[in-house]
Amino acid sequence: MSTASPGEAVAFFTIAAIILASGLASSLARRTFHSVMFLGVTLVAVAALYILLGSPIVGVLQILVYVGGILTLFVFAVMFVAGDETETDDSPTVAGRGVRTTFALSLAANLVLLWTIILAPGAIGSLGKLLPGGTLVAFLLVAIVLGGLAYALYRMSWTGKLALSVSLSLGALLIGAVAATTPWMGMGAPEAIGPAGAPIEEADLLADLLFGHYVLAFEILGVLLTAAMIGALVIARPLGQEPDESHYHKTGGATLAATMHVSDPIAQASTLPPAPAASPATASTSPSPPPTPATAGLSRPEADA
Amino acid sequence: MIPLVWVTGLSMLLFACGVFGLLMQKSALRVLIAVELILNAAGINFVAFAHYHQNGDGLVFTLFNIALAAAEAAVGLGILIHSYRHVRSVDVTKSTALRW
Repeated sequence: MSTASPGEAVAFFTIAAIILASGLASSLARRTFHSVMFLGVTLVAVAALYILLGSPIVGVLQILVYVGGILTLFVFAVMFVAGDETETDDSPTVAGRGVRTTFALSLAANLVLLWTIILAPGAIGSLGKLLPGGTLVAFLLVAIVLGGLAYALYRMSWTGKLALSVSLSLGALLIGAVAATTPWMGMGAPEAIGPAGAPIEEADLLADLLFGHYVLAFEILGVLLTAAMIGALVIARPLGQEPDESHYHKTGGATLAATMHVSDPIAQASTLPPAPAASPATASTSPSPPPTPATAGLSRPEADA
Repeated sequence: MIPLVWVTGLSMLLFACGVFGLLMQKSALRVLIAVELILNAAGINFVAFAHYHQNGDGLVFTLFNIALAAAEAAVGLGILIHSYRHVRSVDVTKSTALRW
């Protein structure tokens, strides 16, 4: 049985602690919006775990699809159905300020963690090979993390400061552990270090499988996503917009019937009450009317009858 | 290399968190969030076994898992918004029209 190096163990247990803490908080939080935010922390931490397990492409796709798409959907749903249902009175509670503090803390720890994993060449699959400007992105991340931490330290209460200092020490411990177990000097040139081309091999493998052996499932998945999108649109349509026949004939169906010379006298007589007043003039002047005026074209068969 | 037992244990605990939220919450939105946690636990298992066996099939199934979660979230949230318009509530214990 294989054993983990100390750096891997520290990284794994930190990620596991963040996943479990935010997952539990997502189930326990009193407000629905906090629950959604904790779900986001969990998703990012799971993406970090994917990167740690040597498949950075799946991790990046997890962040793109889950955090970028599904979480946004959830936030919009919270906005639409908010009101009396955001508070669940009999569920176990986490205090609101504590939730906010823990959320900021775990988000900051997540960013530090992602930075460490992205920049750590060798032991962990490095994104530096995939991204030419990986170090620039990492430094931007670090700047964002430090700015957020400083702002949080400035704003928060004593408990929040204590929790944040614990988080900072945890992040420092993590960075130190990874830096101690991996060759840290190759930040600028990651291709010189580590097992050569691990992420590229993963991309090759994934592409071969996805567009080779699993291509039928891939296409069916595309159809499923399209069907789900159309179905969600149909289900979430406003209640007043049921597809009744009069609405259809008044707007889209009238011009369609006029241009295609389709005569349906029963539907046209029922949907166009003011048309017979103007219809004799147009019917007498032009026996074969042009298709562009919709009311004239529609009222013509009724005038003939 | 991280032992498989650690990762599967983490996946099990995350699954437990999801099932706990699924059973504890009344709001349909919270139930959907718990379902997302459960789907992520399944994805962790897929990636863990793909990593352990050095096989790409698990990664492909993780991608399918993510796409299916997207479809599920879209349709589920559409149903939720529609049901909110009907009964002005997302409480799953109040939607009793189909209950025997």
